[in-house]
Amino acid sequence: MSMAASETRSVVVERQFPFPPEKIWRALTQRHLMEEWLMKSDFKPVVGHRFNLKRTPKPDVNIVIDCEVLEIEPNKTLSYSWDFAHDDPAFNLKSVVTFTLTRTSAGTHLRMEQSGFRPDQRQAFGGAMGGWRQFFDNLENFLARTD
Amino acid sequence: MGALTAAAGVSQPAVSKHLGVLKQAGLVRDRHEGRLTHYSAQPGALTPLADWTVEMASFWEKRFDQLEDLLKRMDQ
Repeated sequence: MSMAASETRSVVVERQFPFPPEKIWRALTQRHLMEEWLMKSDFKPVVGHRFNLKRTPKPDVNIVIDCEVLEIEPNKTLSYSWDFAHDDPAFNLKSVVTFTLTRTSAGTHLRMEQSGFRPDQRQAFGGAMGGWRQFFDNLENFLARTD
Repeated sequence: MGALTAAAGVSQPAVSKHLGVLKQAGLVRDRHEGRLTHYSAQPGALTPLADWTVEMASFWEKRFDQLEDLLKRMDQ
C-alpha cells in the first residue's frame, strides 16, 4: 500500500505561440502587460524582488499572492515563488512558477510549470502519515502472518 | 480485535476508535468473516485533499488564452 504520494505536485501547461520569444518575454515581465493576462502586480524583473499578484474576482474577495523572483534569463527562463495564504490554512499553497521559452521555427514554445505542496499535505503526508503508516504496516504484517 | 491490538502496539479501545474514524472517512473498509473482521486500507481516498493542481491547471489554461489574446493585440 502506498500512501506516500510525493509531497510536491506539479502543474504543467504548454503552448506554441506564433510570436518571437522577445515579445512573449515582454508580456511575462512588464507589469502593465502582465495585468492584461495574469494579474495586477508590482513585479520587477530582478532576482530577489518581492512582489504581490492581486485580483478581485468578486467585490468582497481579495486574492493576494506572495511572490519572489527566483530566476531570470532574458527571453528564456523566468521563475518566481507563488505563495497563497487562504483564509482556511488547509488551502494554503507554497509553490514555484517557472516559465521556459524555447525559440522554434514557428515562434515560441512556452512552458509553465507550477510545482509545490500545501501545508495540509505536509501534515497529512508527514506527521500524521508517519503514525498511520506505522499502524498500517503493523496491521499488514499481522494480517500476512495470520492468513 | 485482541490480535490487532497486539500487532498495532496500541490499546484495544484506541484501535477500535481509530478504525471507526478511518472507516467513516472512507480510508478503510471492513469485511466480516465469522467472528473475524478484516480491515483493508483505501489509499486513493486521501488524494483529493492534496489536489490543488486540478484547479490550477484550469487557471493557467485560461491565463494562456488571455496571453494569446494580448500577444495578438501587441504591436511588436
